Amino acid sequence: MTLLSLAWRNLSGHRLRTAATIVGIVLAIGSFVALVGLARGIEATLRASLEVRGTDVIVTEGGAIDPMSSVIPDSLAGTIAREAGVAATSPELTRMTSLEDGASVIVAAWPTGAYPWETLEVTAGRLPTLDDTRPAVIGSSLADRLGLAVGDEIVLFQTAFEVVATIESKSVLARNLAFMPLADAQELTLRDGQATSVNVWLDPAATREEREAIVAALRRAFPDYAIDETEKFAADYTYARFADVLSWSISTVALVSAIFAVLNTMSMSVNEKRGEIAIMSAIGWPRRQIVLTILLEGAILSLLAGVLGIAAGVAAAYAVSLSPSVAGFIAPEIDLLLLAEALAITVGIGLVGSLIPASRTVSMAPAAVLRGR
Amino acid sequence: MVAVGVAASTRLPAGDRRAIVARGLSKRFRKGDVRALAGVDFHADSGSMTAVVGPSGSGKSTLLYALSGLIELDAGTVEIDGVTPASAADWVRLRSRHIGMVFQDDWLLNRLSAAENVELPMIGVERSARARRARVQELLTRVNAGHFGDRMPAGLSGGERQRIAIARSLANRPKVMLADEPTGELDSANSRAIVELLADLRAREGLTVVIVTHEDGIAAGCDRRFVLEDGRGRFVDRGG
Repeated sequence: MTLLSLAWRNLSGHRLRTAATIVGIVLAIGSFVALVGLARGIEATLRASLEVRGTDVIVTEGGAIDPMSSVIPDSLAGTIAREAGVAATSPELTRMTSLEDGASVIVAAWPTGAYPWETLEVTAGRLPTLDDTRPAVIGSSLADRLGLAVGDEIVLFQTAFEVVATIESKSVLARNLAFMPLADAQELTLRDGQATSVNVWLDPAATREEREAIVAALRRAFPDYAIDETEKFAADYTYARFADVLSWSISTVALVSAIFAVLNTMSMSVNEKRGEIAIMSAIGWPRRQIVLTILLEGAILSLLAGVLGIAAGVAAAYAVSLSPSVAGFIAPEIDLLLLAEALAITVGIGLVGSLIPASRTVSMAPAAVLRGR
Repeated sequence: MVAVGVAASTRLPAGDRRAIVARGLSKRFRKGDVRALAGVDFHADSGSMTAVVGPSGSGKSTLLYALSGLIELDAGTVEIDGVTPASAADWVRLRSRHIGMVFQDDWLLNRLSAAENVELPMIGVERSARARRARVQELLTRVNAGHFGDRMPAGLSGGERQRIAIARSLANRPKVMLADEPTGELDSANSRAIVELLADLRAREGLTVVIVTHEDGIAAGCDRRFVLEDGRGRFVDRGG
């Protein structure tokens, strides 16, 4: 028999109470993993979609809360292209539209022949040319979802487009996007001469320091616009930040509830075991050994629940990401760091929740308990 | 009533080293403003068996808890097996290795088997699991409980449970056993068996036994009687 097996016996001796506490922690840890994973997924999805198209810097309207609400002149791209260290630019108009099945799709529009088109990994068909009338390129996931292939028709902005190519991408967002020439998008959304952002491709030969200097120079040259490197742009993306704060807020409530669940369970456990704790003192167990047994109980309880919670959270996050309303927009970002955070939080819940009940044993008078029964 | 004869050969010669020496023990409980011990002097020779007797509320159990360090004294010193504990940690060490305690209630952990209950004091003291198991078997045999070591306490009789509690108290080979009315909840047959067991252990292992009891039969079987009344104590001759 060891302290660990003794702690396990204590828990297994109260199966219903242990199970109820485990469920509480599972919900808390599961919520944390799912919510934070999805929130981080928003940022990661956006970052990946920008990175795969080779965009180093993105220029948007200063003060716009998200790229889609940004309004800038498409001519800005040409002006920026003349700056030192800039290899290529492309205006982009990003809008969301409804498909015939009611689902939403994001449409990215660039001038025909602009560099972002060349970054698309065409799996079937060809890129649009100036000779095409209403051409569209669609991501592989969108094509699969709608059952479309090259030559089929897709209705975007209530207008029929011909699918001229399907593309594959490492970015889940890109796989679910539709792409069209900028002129078509501007015409159909009544945004002549407007774009939502400018994609900037920096000189590939530039060093890290040189790139930073180029970006700084662009900021000085265009003070009225928000000019961010891709990574920072994704990290500062308002909805990603909002989702991050929201997920942490909800998770914190759930995690604090879990601490109280453990606290309640361990308090009950310690209260019930006053006699046992007293006899342990009487047979010469040091306080630290008694306290350790209680902490181990809390640790086993929370670790067991933590592992289940992580599994439940991962499953929930992927289930949510597959739901029709967000499918294609968010892929959960659940990495080892998040799992380690969840596990650390779990251990913290167990320790914090059992520390107070365990510390109560220090003030317990064993003689009074042993005589009082 | 239980009467236990103690063989004269098992008694140590007078003047042998004292296992317990307590001087000026005083304890007042704030609740009810009760003076439980009022300057009590107590001693017990190695291998002796002393009965602590007295009316209810006279401080018998308090004396026992004072001798084991389970209560904080207002005044007085206790020396056990030549050691005068100066701190709570010293008392823990003493209770772990030098003092075995038995109570009226057996205080067995019901979710552990009888054998595991006996093993409990050895956790943290004896690192080898094999050595612990061997000691448990030895103790179970010693208290005539070898046949029910695997059973859970809920399935044992009061006498059997108390035998397990006694085995548990001996786990770390203590020199002193403090027993607080160990037969208080047992019928006369089981009481007799338990007291005979204590006397046998004392005889075989030279254990110093201090037993709180209200049963004259048990007290009569001890070497000496220590009478407590209103927190004050004195030794009396057997039968006195």
